[in-house]
Amino acid sequence: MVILSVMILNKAGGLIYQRDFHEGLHKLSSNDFLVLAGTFHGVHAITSRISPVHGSGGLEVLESENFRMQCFQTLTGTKFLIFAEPHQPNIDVICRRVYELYADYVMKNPFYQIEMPIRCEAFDRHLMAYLKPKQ
Amino acid sequence: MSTTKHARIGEEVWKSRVDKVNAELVTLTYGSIVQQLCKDLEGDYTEVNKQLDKMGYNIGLRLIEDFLAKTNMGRCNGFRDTAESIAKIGFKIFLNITPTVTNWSADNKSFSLVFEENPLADFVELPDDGRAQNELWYSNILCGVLRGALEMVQMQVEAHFASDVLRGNDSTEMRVELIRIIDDELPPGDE
Amino acid sequence: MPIYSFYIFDRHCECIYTKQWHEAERYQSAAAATARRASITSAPDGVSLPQAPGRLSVQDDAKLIFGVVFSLRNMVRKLSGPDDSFISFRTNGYKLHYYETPTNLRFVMLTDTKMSNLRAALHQIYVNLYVEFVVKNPLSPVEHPGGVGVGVEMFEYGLERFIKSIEAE
Repeated sequence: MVILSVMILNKAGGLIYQRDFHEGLHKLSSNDFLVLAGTFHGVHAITSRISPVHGSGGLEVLESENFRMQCFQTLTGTKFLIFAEPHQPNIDVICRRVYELYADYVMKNPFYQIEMPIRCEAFDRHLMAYLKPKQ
Repeated sequence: MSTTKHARIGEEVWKSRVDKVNAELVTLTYGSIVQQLCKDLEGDYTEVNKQLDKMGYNIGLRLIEDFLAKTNMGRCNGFRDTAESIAKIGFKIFLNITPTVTNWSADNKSFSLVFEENPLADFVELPDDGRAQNELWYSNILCGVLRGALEMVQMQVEAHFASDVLRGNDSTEMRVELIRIIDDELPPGDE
Repeated sequence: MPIYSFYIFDRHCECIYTKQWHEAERYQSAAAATARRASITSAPDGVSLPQAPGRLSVQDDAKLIFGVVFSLRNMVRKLSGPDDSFISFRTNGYKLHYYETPTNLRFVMLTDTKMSNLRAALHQIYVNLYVEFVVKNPLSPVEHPGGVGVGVEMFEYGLERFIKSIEAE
């Protein structure tokens, strides 16, 4: 599987985690990523508003020519953005696994401050092992 | 894209996707427009040039959409690519001529189009009043067309004729210069 | 598979054309109990449309859609270069398809979630309908503030037929 990068947004749309796993996306500054995350948070809210049918949620999949992004929003309001290659299958499974890792190594870490940037070495390690196994 | 690829695209679109019209009709229609302008503007050839450029500009604004629709091209990779597209595909599709791209400036921002043939000016002789030979650019509508078309794809250019066989020069040459790339427009209230 | 709406935005970020379909079925409002297919063109000078409660007007909708589409398109360009272009996005309720011409003309279509990629269809609408009937119409202006000159009969008729043929697939 080729996952290009992962971003995690907190409830307010602030970027709390960003990591590249494979080449494919441009390298932006951390400020650029922060702005992108904030913009996306707003756009996500509007996408459910402009729905032509009742009861639509926010954006779940975004396709472009060079990548495909899946946005998984948890019931707690946290958003996981997974950037993959356009024809990567099983992104749903990958999303779920990343959420599990987050629940384990981030949320269960008593010293992690909720809604703050994630600096959990165990989370990084396990995520890397899962997404880029031969490293 | 190499120039042969441009030439191939131009030839292919010209053969298959373009409606053809009688060439004399075009020459005569354009001729009568220029002649009428000269009469209406009482021989003020500078003004005639300006009007032709304006007419061309309006045509160019629309023509670019037809060009994009027929050729299915995306954005060009730089101004050199643009020049080749204009010469080998644009002029081929609309006038069935392929001017040569030459005289690139050092900064790659201006070039010349040299026309071996010009269907607009077939059978034309400029009036003998002493001024037309020095002031009138007969085919100036083409400059406006390029200006309008390129503006719609975010390039502001300036185009003018440097020489014209109708004036007694050796060749018909149009100079095209890129002034600037126009940025995307933001929605009102954004900045 | 239903197609819900279609929008064209010009290079000045303005909505110059919009068309809505299946309004009645979408909201299952009691007033449209027969679920007849209602296709309504929005006239930008504010002709009022039957609206379900809580629903935005078509104009406001168009502005929001433009905002979403413009932001996503810029995001995609920032992440993966100016050559990349955003193609579509999907929520659990609808799918939005996007196509932008090099002249910054933007075509947007909202459809059912199961619809396959309509980018080629939007390109067809541009080439065969917009260029043929709007751009080449000598009586239509070059700029279309407020949508003037876009909703010509041939364009509307061609669009209806084309949409029907896509939905039937």
